Amino acid sequence: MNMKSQNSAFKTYFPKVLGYGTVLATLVLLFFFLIYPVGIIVSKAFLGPNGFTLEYFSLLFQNELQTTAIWNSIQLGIATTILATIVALPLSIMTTKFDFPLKGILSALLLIPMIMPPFVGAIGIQRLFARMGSVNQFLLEHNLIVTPIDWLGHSNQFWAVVILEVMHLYPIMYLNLTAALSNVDPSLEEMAGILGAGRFKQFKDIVWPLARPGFFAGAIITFIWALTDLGTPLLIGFHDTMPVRIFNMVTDINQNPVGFALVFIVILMTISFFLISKSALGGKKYEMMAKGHVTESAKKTGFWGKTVIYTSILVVVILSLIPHLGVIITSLSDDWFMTVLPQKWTTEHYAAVLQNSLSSAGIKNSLLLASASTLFDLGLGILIAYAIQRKLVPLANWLDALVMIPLALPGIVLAFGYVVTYDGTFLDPLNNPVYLLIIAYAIRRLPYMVRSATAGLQQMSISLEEASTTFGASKFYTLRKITIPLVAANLIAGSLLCFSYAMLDVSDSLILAMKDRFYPLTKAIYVLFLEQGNGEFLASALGVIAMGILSACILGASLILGKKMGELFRS
Amino acid sequence: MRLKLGTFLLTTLLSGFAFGPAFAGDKVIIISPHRKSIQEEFVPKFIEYYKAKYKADVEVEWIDQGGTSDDIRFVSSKFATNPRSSGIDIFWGGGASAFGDLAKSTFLSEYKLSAELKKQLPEKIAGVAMYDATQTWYGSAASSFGIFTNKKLLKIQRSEAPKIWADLANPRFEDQISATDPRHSGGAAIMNTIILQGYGWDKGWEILGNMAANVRKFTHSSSDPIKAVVSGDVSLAPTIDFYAAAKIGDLGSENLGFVLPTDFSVLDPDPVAILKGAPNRKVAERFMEFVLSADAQKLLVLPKGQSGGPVKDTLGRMAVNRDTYNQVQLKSISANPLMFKTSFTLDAQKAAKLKNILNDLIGAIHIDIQNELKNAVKNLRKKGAKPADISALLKPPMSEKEALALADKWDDDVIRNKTINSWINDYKSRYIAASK
Amino acid sequence: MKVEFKDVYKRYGKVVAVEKLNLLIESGALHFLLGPSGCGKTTTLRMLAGLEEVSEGHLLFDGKDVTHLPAAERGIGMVFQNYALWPHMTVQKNIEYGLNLRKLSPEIKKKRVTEVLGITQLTPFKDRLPGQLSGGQQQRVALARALAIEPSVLLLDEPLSNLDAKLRHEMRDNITRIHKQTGITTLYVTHDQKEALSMGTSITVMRAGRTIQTGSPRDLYTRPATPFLAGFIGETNLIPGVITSVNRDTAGTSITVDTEIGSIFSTNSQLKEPKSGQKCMISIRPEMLQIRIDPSSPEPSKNKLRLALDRLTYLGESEQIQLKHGSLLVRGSVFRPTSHMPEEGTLLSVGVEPSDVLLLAEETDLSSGT
Repeated sequence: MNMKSQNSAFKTYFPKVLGYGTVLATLVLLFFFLIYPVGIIVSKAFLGPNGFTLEYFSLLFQNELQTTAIWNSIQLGIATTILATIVALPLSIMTTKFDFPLKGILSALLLIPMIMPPFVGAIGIQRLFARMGSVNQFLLEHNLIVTPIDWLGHSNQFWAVVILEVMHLYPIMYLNLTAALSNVDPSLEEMAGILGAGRFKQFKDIVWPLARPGFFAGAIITFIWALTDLGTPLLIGFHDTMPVRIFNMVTDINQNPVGFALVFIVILMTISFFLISKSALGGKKYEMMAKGHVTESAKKTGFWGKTVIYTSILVVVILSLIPHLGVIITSLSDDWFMTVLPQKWTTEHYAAVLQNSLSSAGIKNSLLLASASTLFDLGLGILIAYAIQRKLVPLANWLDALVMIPLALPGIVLAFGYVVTYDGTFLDPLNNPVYLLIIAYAIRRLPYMVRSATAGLQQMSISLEEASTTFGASKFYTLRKITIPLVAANLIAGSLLCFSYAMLDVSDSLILAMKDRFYPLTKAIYVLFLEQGNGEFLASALGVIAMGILSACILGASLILGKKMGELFRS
Repeated sequence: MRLKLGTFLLTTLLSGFAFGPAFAGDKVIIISPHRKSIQEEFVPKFIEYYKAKYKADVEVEWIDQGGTSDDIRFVSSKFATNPRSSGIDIFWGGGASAFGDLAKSTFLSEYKLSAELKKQLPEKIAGVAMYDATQTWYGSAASSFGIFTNKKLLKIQRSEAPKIWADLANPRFEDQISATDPRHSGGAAIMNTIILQGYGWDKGWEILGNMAANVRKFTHSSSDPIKAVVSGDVSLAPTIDFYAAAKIGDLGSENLGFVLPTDFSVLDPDPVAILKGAPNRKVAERFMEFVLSADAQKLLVLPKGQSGGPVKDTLGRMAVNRDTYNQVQLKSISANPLMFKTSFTLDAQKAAKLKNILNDLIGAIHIDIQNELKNAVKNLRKKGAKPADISALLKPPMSEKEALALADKWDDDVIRNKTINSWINDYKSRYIAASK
Repeated sequence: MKVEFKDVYKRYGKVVAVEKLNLLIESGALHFLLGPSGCGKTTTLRMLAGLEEVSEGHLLFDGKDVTHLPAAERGIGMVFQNYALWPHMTVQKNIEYGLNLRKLSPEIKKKRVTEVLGITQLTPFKDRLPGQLSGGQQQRVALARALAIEPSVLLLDEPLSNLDAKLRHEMRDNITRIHKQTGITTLYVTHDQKEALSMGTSITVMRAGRTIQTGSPRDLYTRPATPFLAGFIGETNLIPGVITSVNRDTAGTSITVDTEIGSIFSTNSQLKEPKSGQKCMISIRPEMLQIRIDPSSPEPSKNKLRLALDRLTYLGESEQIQLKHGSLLVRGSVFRPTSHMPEEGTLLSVGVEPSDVLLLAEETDLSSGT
């Protein structure tokens, strides 16, 4: 018997103090770097010429354009989520349930489309799909069409946005579904098979309910992303969406407070959509009984199986990489004026951009900032997900919803909130934006990590933790030795998203990094992009370099962890 | 593993402090929407000039917040927390209207030109004030506005390039124009003002409405229309001169062109000013002196590589210092605004007063419901309606006088939004009725 | 170590999971907690492990109050129903986990691991991951892991429920052997009465959050306190009836009960104060019924009943016989069954010794049974 009564009191309370302390620290952090700065900005929605007012909200709803925009955005979110699921689900089943050569590389390739360097993406699309862009030029030259097709014209805009969103967002869905599916014990399916359930019925009745937390994690991020994405509709020129309306009013030379009212509505919508869909989709908890271990069950594929798998993966990847291709061509073109492909090719832009001090500093800064913020997210995300999932705090659902807010926030609101809040303090970004940049990157990407970690924890049997407790392990020891290794697949998926999107962050980088020695990669791209002359080409070249770095990170991570992820980290 | 992660994090955090050495010498902090190329040419030259003239090193901190409106928002927020100082010395770049707003908010401090500079800097060029009566801001360069064209595309369409602003309203340019939303671009707002003041209120609205019906897309950034023309999406874009000049330089004047409308061409100064409570007032004054000097102004006009000219990139802007043009004469590649002959003078006061209300009005009845407008105008044109009928459809909701009166109340966001909502409702149903 | 629950309650909001639990587990016992699912036995176990807080009452280890002692300091080893083996650790790592937490010297650690691997016959598998083991091996790993820390109390939560019948028998022997070898006070939770009867040194039966009886397996089988218990532990025939006469003499009390199948005489009463006219419940174990298959054999001398043959179930060493009277079914069995069994519907003579007729009080609370 191992009772040591002298330090028993300490041992009893220490984990509790530490536990609640962490939760408290998290809440304080969220208050100072989310609620307060955002509150300061959004409070303008309630401040009329004579003090407090709700007038802007009624003005908002009296304007038919705003209500149309709200409705369009919801439809965009729904259409994107459904299509992204249709694309991602078969792919994730293929990669989890079947074995085929080059699986590691191909499943990593599926993630590449999620990296799209900002600004230059627009060039890619414009170059290819403008009325006199490459695609139409090609079709005209070969007499396939008589008048140019208006790919991005008014009537196609909605679906153009949806398709671009899907091509960009399906990796999020794919990552979450794959992590979830690989955790479903195949013996359960086998059992269902023995009981005579067909493949589809097996999937519907057995696999789906168990993989649902993972689907929920992916779907809610996809939905809210599409609902609140500014970049894509702006790129296509589809202005009747909520985020574009907000952007219009907030960045108007003569700022319009109705924009902040709309921000407030978006936050409310995000929270309620999250809570509703959580209770409908993710609420029920089907944890795996953790009867030991999920055995390797991937089936070998025959010729036709391979054909189907390779074709679908390559088609999805190639289609999704079309905008990227446009950027790559631009970066290599010497002269490109109204022809299918550039008349002359050159690698000069790469030489020029590599000599530019902005790019090397930008790459270094971004790698540093993105890694730091990802570590930050990892720590914070696990703790928050753990506190929510194990109900360590009261009102866990609300904490969960609170963490989702950054997804809903227009980029400018959070970043500018920081500028206003921390003006003149030691965090003033005018002097040194590094800390605020790390925090801003981290807070913005926190939802991905929390969702991924929550999905992992939901699938893990709590008895695995309890077993550790009975051996005398503290909550934190258990978290470190048992819980974290077991949800590692989910955490890696979350980190990959956090890191990639932090590398590609736009609004925080533009607003918080004010002096060129602090410029992250994205701001360097932006500054080059605005340059006259060859700026566009240099920006494209730097964009391609950024894509290269991120692709290498993703390929590397999945090659190193790919096999192990499948074999070891299943709970 | 844990240790490594910890060390990494710590290093990252510490490196936050390590960025950039502390600088003990003279320093000036500049906020500017200007692009990198201007920074790269002017800053080293200023440091050199400072060393030679004042025998001291100077550090220039260049703050980039994006475009003009981003910079104004940033400075305003700084003054909101500390009304006496923003912690920044110089605001450089934008347009006359932006600096009018800054002066109105009392963010600028007075700066008197030296007698020598006063002789070199004309108060007005082509009828446009190059510096303000309040002696807060001074034009450091000048820009003109015109129409950027894709010659190749115009040839394919067998269309002639426009010559005057009113040509943009011609039905032959249906879906062939890319323009910027004036609510996001001071340049676009000035072009609208030129049309409204040049052609007069009523005719002006007819042209703006027809032009909006010809616009394929209103963009947020003033650089997007340039790209639309280059990629062949449209053939025309109203723009500021040097945006166009750079592209023409790249892709050849046989492909692209810039039309300076022969009826109303207007210059806009690109000002520089010292901000209120500048922490480095003295260095800031020296910077003003430098930027306005004939030597520094050569950077704007000379092609790259020429002695006294820019090192990396040709800036292709117009200088405002008389002596600059006297010294460089014809070597310059950009036009000399001092030779501009224009019968038209912009009423800057009226323009400043109407700016916000005009932006909102154009935004409401031309941009936000552009599809309805397009359908209506195209329908009338197809039916062969008389120009007067189209003009009636495009008639603004008020006279210029009424607009001036309403402008006084425009700071009240409730009145402002109520009015905008009613414009949208009225014109939307009006357009829908006309498209049947 | 002696473990004692004193008036322990566990409430979840308004729901009472365990009510006024009093339980004594003697040092070195292999004590079973038996009951239908949802009766509170697992909650009791988890309170003992420190995984659930006690709402009210006290928990004593060797007389010392440990009610609020964290799980970490109770020195408990637990085997979970799903084993809860950590899939990312090898068998050896799983076993070492608890030892690492105790900061033991490497030599002691090595000795203990070798020891428990030996006891559980897992030595050849020590470097495998749990996923590479069979169900029985996984179960042994869970046991080895719990034993390695030399717990003062070992808790087993339905440890055999995931195994097939053959393995289950094997593991019963294993656990009994290991318990004898180590002498660790063990609390074993199960819903399988056969497991409890065959392995336990003592058994507590729980129902609806309460304990109903504690005793040795023999006590519980022969002298169950209630009709529920009689039916729960082993099979029995429960026949309701009314007492017609009570006769007390020096040999004891003999009671006559009137039932649907006739008058039955009993000398084995669990009733407190049996009175004429009182309703009661008769329990007769199937193996105690003497069924006359061979018409040439003598008629039963006592409690002669006549029942119709309803159904026969051949089990090899015995034949199960279901008898019927009206709607009442009575089960019995014959050993060494012959090939000439009577046909269904045949009326048979059945007898039973009065000492094998157990009189129990009528069940008062039927709402909370299974």
